[in-house]
Amino acid sequence: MAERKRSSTELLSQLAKGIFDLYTSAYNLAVDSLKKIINEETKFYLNIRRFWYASISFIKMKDKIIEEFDKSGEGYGKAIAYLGLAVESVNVVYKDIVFIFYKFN
Amino acid sequence: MIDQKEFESFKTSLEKLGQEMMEKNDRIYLSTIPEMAVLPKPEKKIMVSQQNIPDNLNSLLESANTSLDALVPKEVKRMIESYKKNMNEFIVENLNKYELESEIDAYLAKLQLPHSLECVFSQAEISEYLWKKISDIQQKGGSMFLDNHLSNLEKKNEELVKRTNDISIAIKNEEEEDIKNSKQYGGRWTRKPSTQINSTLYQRIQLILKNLSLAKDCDGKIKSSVLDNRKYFEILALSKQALSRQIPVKTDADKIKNSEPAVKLRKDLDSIETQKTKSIEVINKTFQTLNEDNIIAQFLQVLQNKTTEKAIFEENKKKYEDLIKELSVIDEEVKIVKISILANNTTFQRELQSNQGYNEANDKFFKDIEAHCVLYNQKLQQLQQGMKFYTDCNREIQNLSESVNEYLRARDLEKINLINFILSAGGSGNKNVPSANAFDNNLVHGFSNFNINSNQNNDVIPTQSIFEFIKFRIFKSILLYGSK
Repeated sequence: MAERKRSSTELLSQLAKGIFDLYTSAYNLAVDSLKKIINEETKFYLNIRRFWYASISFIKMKDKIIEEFDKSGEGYGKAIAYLGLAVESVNVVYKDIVFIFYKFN
Repeated sequence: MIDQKEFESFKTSLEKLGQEMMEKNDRIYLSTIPEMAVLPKPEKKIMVSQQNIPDNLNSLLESANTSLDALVPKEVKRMIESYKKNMNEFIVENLNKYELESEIDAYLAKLQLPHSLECVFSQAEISEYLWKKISDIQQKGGSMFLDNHLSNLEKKNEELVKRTNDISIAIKNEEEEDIKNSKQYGGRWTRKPSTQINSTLYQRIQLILKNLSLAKDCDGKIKSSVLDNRKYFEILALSKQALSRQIPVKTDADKIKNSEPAVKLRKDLDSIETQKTKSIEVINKTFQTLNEDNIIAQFLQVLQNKTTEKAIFEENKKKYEDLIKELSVIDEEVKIVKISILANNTTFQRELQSNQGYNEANDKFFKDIEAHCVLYNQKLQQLQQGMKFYTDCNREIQNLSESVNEYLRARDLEKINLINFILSAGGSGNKNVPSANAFDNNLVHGFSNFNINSNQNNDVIPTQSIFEFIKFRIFKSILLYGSK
């Protein structure tokens, strides 16, 4: 199962990246072609969701590297760097979350 | 929509874990932390079919109405099928109470109408009444249009059969590859055999091929009928003058033409034609309503025990009864006109037989023309139905093709993962090789446990993940078993 989990961790990262791309396309459409008919709340929502999936993708990459590290003892720094990217992704939209929570609730 | 507290908790946990990892690295591992910018980006994987954004965004709204059709529970689909079948039977049963177009035509034919009237009205030249019918046919394209239609149907049939066979071959190839891999890897090839999964797809293919074969037979029959009657269809393509020259004998029947029964008969026939058109409109409207009837929401309530199938049927029955009731008004009109026709026709036929205006050859000529006008419209209707069948069939094959492509893609991905696993296990014959189901569960659990570390901090799972998990399962079920 451990061997198997390694491949699925990577697959999960790839799937999350795929969802990130889909949300990015939706977000670009909302702020570009459809900017007049899409409300602000939806634009915020799409932006937050896409970075949410970006962070998940990085977390799963980190998990994958940790699994490799458990076997080879190498790559711990790389795992930290991926986790850093996940934190960055969350931070990018954190202010949006606080803002919309303030504005819409 | 988005829970701020959960997001905050997620963010804090990430930062806390990052801090712990940094400390561990500083104390124990001393590994170099690369710059974030130089890290390889995760590859993206999208396991659903991509659809291009159409130029007209309103069409997205239209397709959005049907995009969730595939997610209708099987029980509801079964109930809707049964409802439509029963409602169809109910409508047909009610329609049988009324005289329809074909019965009216048969009734008129028995009275030697309208061709015997034509013997009088078209003496040296085709009457306006008959010419209107013929010119309608010419405007529809005449016999050439029938030929083109037939040729199109033939091509369409061949094309659809080929496409269906190609789909079948693709499934067969995947099946053979699976059998080959199963033989090669033996007990380590733990996924479900293709033969156990693809039977539904084969059943759909068989059904489509069977329907296409029946349609081909039908097309053949229409073609032979069109060929048999080609001579008359070609006559219908002539100009008014040319057709008038074909009238066998020029007669003088002005006296009878202007007689009261003939004039009344002409008026009655016009009236009956109008009623026929109205009745066709009502019937078409009834079946169109049935086809477009969106009753998914109602039947979903059956699943929630809020109503019953019978109650929905009874409730909707009223709507169709009201539509069919319009036929009763038309039927009454037809009955009155028929009485008038019967009375006037008796006098008219008597006068016609005793008058020099009657000619047997003319009678046969107009009878044939009238019959072939009806036949042309029948054949055209059949060909249009044929084209509609191929359009529907094309849509079904398109759905099948998408289902098969997604099935093949999913199986291919599963195959690659399994081969990678077997090869990485070094052929040790490990009995703990995960099955295809384990692979599925792994994916699902992975999504439902999206957290920083699967061994800790389970309380930071956002509730949103549950919805993602559900959405993912839905996508996956579409992916594996197709949309229909």
